Amino acid sequence: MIDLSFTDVMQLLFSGIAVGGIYALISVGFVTIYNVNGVINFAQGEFVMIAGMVGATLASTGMPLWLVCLAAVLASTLTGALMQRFILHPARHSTEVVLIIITIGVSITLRGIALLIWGSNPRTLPAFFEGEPLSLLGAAIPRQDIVVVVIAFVCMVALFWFFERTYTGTALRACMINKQVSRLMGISPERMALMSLMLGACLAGVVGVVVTPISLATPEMGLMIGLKGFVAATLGGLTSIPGAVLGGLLLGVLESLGAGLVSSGYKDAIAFFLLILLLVLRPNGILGGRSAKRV
Amino acid sequence: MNKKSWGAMLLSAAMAISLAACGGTGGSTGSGSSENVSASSAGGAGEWKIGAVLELTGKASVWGIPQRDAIQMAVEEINAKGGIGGKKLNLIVYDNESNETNSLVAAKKLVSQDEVLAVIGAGTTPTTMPLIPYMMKEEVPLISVGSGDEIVLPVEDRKWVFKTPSNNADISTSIVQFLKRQGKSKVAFISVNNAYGDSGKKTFEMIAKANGIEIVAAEKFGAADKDMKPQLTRIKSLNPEAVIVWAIPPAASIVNRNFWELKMDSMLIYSAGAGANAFIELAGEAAEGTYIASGKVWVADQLPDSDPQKQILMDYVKAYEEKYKTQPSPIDGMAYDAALLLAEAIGQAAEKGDVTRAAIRDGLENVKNLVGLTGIFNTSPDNHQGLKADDVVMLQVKDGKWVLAQ
Repeated sequence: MIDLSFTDVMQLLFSGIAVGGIYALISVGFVTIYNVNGVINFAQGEFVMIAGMVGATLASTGMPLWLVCLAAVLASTLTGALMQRFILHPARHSTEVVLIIITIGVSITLRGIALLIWGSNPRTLPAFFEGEPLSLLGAAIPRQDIVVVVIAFVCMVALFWFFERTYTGTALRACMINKQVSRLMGISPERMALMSLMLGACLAGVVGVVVTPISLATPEMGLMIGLKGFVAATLGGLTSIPGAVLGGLLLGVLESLGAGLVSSGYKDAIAFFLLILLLVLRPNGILGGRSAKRV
Repeated sequence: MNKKSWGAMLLSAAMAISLAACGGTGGSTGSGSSENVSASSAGGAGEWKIGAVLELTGKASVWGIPQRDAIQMAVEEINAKGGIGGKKLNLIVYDNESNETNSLVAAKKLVSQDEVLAVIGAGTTPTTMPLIPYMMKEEVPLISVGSGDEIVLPVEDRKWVFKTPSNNADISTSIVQFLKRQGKSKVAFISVNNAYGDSGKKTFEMIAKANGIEIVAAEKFGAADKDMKPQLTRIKSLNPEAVIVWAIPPAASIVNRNFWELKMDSMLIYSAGAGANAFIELAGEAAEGTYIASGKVWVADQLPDSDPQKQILMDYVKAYEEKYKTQPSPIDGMAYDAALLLAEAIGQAAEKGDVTRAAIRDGLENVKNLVGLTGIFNTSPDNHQGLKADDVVMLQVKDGKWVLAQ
């Protein structure tokens, strides 16, 4: 164990919040898709990858950055829509286990296709704001990290507004709570299923665009990021959006503090150990009560 | 949450964990694709049949594809000059998908179906290790392009195995000597959490200790990690004079960016594994001033005319750029060297009029002053690698280009 100053701990904390913001966005995607489609979408990380790769490719043609970002997010949203229409929708009467395996299949397929198209050379996207990192409480914060946190925050607020204040959002939420009754109320669960996947893929696309300047884009980039998002969603109980956000932030901060204060070799082990511990002790998530059973 | 979805969730968790485990090796299974380079039909009597197992797809294909290109180029050059002993080389390449098991399957196919004289490969340490017991049993010469020292050590158990990349020990020695010249004695070590990083860590620690260099911190990170600031924060708090990184891109480039973001002012030194062409591009302005212990391919034109490798390096860079419209790197240079070593051994055997697997093996052990791209090879029964620490040079990024470090 080594002594870390206050500044160093702050550095770990800020670093963790930036990573946590990424996890939070992915995990919100997991939760939205899970609740409407009844499936844990393991291709979520690949949506991130598609946005990252499309973004990096377009950026190298000299296209303005805002257009690149828009196109990249659209590309992953479209992938999500196609996946729902042509793969999940025809299989919607299958059991959950089959659906999960289908998403794993989609994820491996997308990774393979990306490798064929782009090869495995890492690609990069320029940071949104050039320049030296900013300094806060003695810790250095790269500008792109701030972009990540701000965009994550904006997305959360937008999501809150969407789910609470718009008709479509309320319909989506109704569908999450009870599909049959929603149908009786005139909401089409099919449309909502499509919409939830597009929303999830769109969020993943946003992650892909903001994270590529930090992490670089490779066909393999989605695997770990998707799994960490899943852990975050599970930490939050898989059904609650605030829980997913909290789970993401918590995971990011714990990983960062774990790597900095305990041992960097066990960083991923910490995340997956947390997952197992939580599934055993609190299957309904950190926010869920022990016996909160929906009927 | 009802009972059914609870079960599904547990299952998902199990899958998540097993997927994470798969992430280590990556890639799907299935038989590798094959490519036959020589235009003439395979198996003709008038040619020497050799094989290669490389990472054409999957994680390590960043290196596998240029390595294949380099070997093909070497073979074509040799054939254009009339081949060896009047017969042309016929190269058969199989893809191992960057996967250990497929690597062995591909090698078995080369040895038992194609009946090649010798095998070049695999391109990385993890994909080479499973081939060693098999090649020893079948008594077929293997020239690996993986960098781990354990590929050729202990030499008594590696009778049929050779390699061309510099040993971790030579790279470490080169770095340590450089540190001493710069008057630095307090360093931190950070490595990728796999066989490559661990092997580098073990060797570097040993050589640093023997030379009075203190390692104040040894950190690790995952090959797929996005943020190494926590590890570097810890290192920064200990104020080392230099940070040594044993990793491959893209993770290696992220370390460089994070190092710059944290405004660390120590030296940053990479092992040869980071030597992909995209390194500078990926790290951007953060790469300025970074060091790497590497071969000479990038600085061929900066070498003094007295350097015995200058001619072959200049020729290689020119031919490679003309043929493939892209820059070569030290990594594909090692594969080119493997082809040169093999050609030399076949040549020695052909002179004696007896080209067999055993005769080629004997030749590989008897290479004298062969000028390659990675260094000057001098192999012996005790040394199946044949390079010296002097063959590793220190390069530094200046104005976005690699130059010889002062």
